[in-house]
Amino acid sequence: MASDLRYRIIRNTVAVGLTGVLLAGFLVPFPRVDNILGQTARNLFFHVPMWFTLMAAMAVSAWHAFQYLRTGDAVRDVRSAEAARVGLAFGLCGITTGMVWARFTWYQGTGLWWNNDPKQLMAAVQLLIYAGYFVLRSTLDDPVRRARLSAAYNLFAAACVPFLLYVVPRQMASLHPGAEGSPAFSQVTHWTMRLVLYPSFLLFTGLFWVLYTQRVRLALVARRLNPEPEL
Amino acid sequence: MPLLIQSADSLAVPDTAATIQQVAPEAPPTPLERVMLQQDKLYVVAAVVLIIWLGVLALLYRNDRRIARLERALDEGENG
Repeated sequence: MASDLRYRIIRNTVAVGLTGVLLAGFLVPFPRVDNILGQTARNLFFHVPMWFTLMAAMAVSAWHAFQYLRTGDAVRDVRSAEAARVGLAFGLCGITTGMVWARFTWYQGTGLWWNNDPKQLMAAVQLLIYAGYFVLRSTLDDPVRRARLSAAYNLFAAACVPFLLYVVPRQMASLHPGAEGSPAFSQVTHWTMRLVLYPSFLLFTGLFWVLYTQRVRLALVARRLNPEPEL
Repeated sequence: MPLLIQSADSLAVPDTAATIQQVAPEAPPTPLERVMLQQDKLYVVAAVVLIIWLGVLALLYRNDRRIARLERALDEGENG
């Protein structure tokens, strides 16, 4: 229930914590990296956690998809879909924040909002794959078929994540840290920034969990009001 | 230094609506201003973002209350 103690503790921690991360993101001092980034290095605290959260969300979604295929419990299908939905929202935030960040830093003066950077491109592909998951769900009327097929698709979509977001981009020249031609993440991130970054990872994941839990509860209430025939 | 912005093209907009004048401050900075003008006015951005974030949080908490109310109504409906 929305009054469940564990939920309330996590929600309140996320609320207070993210407020702190937000302020710290603006105010924490850090050594100047270069003239390209300037203060935009602070985007690190917000852009990167969007992707971390996407991966956590899709892992939750895939887990529930797998459990649905194993048990046939319809609630698992609800959880899988809602996790993917909220996760996709974070992914969209990630891709747009990345575009805006790049436009005024590495691509200043070029007018480019999109630059086919391998990680950027593969992330867009990954988001399209998850968009396909929702298209698939919308085409199937029978709830059992819908749940089963979309759960199978979900597992495929989740399997793509490590390849598209990590393996492929690292093989190619890319702006993103760790790829050809770019120093590793640990080399460009001062420890004062990590003090904000790691809590940000945790708290944005917590925010996903809070939003996902709300949506699941809402979906379960909707099902109680309009029970589906064959389940 | 006053800043004058005028619309370049002539739509059916009266001139007074299209011109913005920024007047240079004459009074000495208040204590709040003294704080906010530091760091190249970065604190102003932080304040804006904080306001937006608090609005989002308010939505989050409100949604929780509404869902709880719905769940309670359903439970009472089933048991009542």
